[in-house]
Amino acid sequence: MDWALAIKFAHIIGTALGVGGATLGEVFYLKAARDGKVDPHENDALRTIFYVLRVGMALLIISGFGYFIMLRLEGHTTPLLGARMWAKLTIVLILLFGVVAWHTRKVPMWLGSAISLTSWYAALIIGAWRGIPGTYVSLMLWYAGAIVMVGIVLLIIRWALKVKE
Amino acid sequence: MIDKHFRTLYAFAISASVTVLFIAIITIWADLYAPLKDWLKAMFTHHWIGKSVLSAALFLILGGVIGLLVSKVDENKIATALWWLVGCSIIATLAIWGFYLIEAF
Amino acid sequence: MSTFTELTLVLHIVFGLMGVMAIYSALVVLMKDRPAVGFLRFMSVSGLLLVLLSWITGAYYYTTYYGSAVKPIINAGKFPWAHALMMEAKEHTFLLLPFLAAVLVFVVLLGSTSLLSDPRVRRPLAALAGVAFTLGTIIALSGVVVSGAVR
Repeated sequence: MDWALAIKFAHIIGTALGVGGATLGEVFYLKAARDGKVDPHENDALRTIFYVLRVGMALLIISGFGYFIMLRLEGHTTPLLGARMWAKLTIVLILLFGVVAWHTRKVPMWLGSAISLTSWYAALIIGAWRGIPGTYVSLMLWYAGAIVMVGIVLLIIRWALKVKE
Repeated sequence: MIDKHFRTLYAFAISASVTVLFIAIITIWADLYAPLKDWLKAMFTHHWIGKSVLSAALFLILGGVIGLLVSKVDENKIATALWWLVGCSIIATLAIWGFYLIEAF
Repeated sequence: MSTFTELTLVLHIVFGLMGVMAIYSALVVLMKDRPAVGFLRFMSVSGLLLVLLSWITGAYYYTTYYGSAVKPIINAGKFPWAHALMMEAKEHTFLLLPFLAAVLVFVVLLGSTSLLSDPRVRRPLAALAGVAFTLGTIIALSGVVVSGAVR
């Protein structure tokens, strides 16, 4: 197996763990919060899921920079200034700073969830869709719009499930 | 509470604040004043290595000197020194980027 | 580029990236009211060591290869600002990182658990880690831009 394949595998696995972790984390959190409290067993499950999500993030970042190094050394540097690359980098940064903002309680849970879920799925879609059309600005506008839509859907779900926070 | 290590922590936090400001100053000064850049290159083979070496020396020496001179350091003084370092780092970064933004365009 | 120069470039990027990730881990730990001190110490020390290794490998690549082989390509290409702004600012901003990381290490290694849990100290320490992480991120992204301009 060569480096390119190893980096690809790591990138896909990182994305899978992150998307899966964010999705399951949200599902388990909503389930746990229905009665207004997260008991120790539920908390333990959530901590495990978020740990897996962090592993996915680390794999994604390391393999992402693996791609960057490969492109640089091979002389295929055009994608490094491309809209897809910078959209994904921006989304990863939003996820990383989002964790900090959430810890400092600057972001409410529902908004944090919307940003997290949208970001992971957006990174997946932009990564998988090779010829995705659009400039960096248009991709970011779609992303922002998606956060709003996901936020509204999550609020509706929280209301329907009578989640107490 | 006074701890035997508090003086060291305080000294190097202050030293780091001075060092990051020094980095910004020497960066801008060397770009504006060619003899300084030439001197750095002559002394250290490359201007950037010169800035690296001088910064490291300043940090270590100043930290040691302040550590010897200062007395009665508590948690509040350490906290203040750390906040100063945060502020000085932000100022130094803005100065460096602002300078090169003007230079580039 | 010789194999050894390529290796120093790769190591510079890898060490720098791992260093920034370690500092981020320290930041997240410091955001808790009672930080896990063992993990915090491990990540802070790792961050400093990795930043120092990135400094050394980057210094070799920059002083022996970049100036003569890469900079002229960027300056003659479509994005000369990639050197004039991004590379110049990046190489000098990088110089701040080791000292920020060193102070972080001094405090977490020499400070007691009660000191690290004391919000008066923990908060500015978290802010320091946050600044170091932010600078590391800016430096890394600037590196992507500089590399992207090499055509």
